[in-house]
Amino acid sequence: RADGRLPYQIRPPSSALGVLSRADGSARYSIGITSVLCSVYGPTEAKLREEKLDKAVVNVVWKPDVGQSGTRERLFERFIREAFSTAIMVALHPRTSFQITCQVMSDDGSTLAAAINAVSLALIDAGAPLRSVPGAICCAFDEDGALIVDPSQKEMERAKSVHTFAFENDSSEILTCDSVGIFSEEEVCHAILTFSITFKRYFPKFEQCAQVCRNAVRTLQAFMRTVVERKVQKVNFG
Amino acid sequence: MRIVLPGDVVEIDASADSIESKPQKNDAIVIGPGLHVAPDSITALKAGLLVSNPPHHYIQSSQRRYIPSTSEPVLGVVLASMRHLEAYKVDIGAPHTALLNFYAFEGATKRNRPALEIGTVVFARVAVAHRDMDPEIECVAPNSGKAEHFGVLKDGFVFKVSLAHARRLADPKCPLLVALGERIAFESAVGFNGRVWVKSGSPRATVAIVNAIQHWESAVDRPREVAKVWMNRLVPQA
Repeated sequence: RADGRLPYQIRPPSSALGVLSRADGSARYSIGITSVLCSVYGPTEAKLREEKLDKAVVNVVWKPDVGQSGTRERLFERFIREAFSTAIMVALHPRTSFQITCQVMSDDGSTLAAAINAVSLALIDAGAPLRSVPGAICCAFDEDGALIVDPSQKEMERAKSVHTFAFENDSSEILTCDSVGIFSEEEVCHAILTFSITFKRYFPKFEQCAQVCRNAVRTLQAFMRTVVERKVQKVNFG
Repeated sequence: MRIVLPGDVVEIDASADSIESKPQKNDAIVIGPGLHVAPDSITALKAGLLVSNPPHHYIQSSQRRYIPSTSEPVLGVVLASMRHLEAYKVDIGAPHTALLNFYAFEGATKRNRPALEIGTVVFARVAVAHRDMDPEIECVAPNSGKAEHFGVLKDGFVFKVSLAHARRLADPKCPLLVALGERIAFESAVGFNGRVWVKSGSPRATVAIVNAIQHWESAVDRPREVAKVWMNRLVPQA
């Protein structure tokens, strides 16, 4: 690859928890140069027109590093909102809302995956009740059809298709998935909604891609675990 | 004691020594904050230290957002007087504002009840806390109907700390407050909602005490040192 990495090699991740003093929870997650800062406020009182009687509402704001935010950012917001509406135990806090803000600090590819990881860490920092810790990874099929993991900005531009997967930490089930580009199995969009054994059999190439990502995300989740453990150790409960 | 992340399955040794056929009351396992009982397993909802003092199992974590729980003492600020509800609306830092009944004070009657203005600080206990209802607080002890230490707090200074730190400060034998009390006279009230009220003879003394309390969070194992540093800064008075 252009930067000397092997096809399945990811850039070194780094992160910090509790970086913002006023937010209930915050985290900064970087993978290589790509860096996303996330803040979480919640659970707070939801606005009357958007409150739900039996669960909390998750609101996401995505702020790009450069330029104004438009429809692309709305798509990212929806993606994160739907992923975390499942991961957060919203039934525990009815009539409240979780306000999540993602600020892209620098973008060198795989930003959505970095943002999902940043949101997970920020929610942990805020003490929000979570079913699992979603870990995300991005992968792409380049011009020759080869699978590369954690593409940089240049690699994403030249790729045939780019996929972002988020996995739950316990079952390693796919939590959510975003695919962009020309991909050989066209029905994948429909099948994604019901990720089942049948799907794995009929779309082997997609599953191969998912499997590689699953392994990559395990290392990222192990990294996130050490980050949180180190933070908890620092808090001396006395 | 191990550090757990949300989604981790927790193994609880369900009383290895209860061989009796009749389940006794003492055999009950008490699952505390941060743990979620699912049909087939017990999982962690928050990141923190898993504390197991059988029969109690809970997760010790720290966050800034307060979720009210019955019979906890809290510090609130009066927001408004709701005549039609016969209650004050009080901000206790929870997702929803709490209600403080007009007559929830010692010896309050229709003719003779305390009139609280907007911005008054009250020290109260949580009477009703349920996720579907607005929390209710009262300034009387439940059984005796006497105020004990609850009621309006005049003057002084209110500031915020994290919830775990508030729990440390609320300990009657809190080493930092004891050490500070040896050097200077002051009053303090600690709410489990992360708010602390301090009142002493002079503003300089109050500021020194507040700083000592806040700095203790980063040096929990050295309360006497922290107290000494801040009290020494206070001594040379003009």
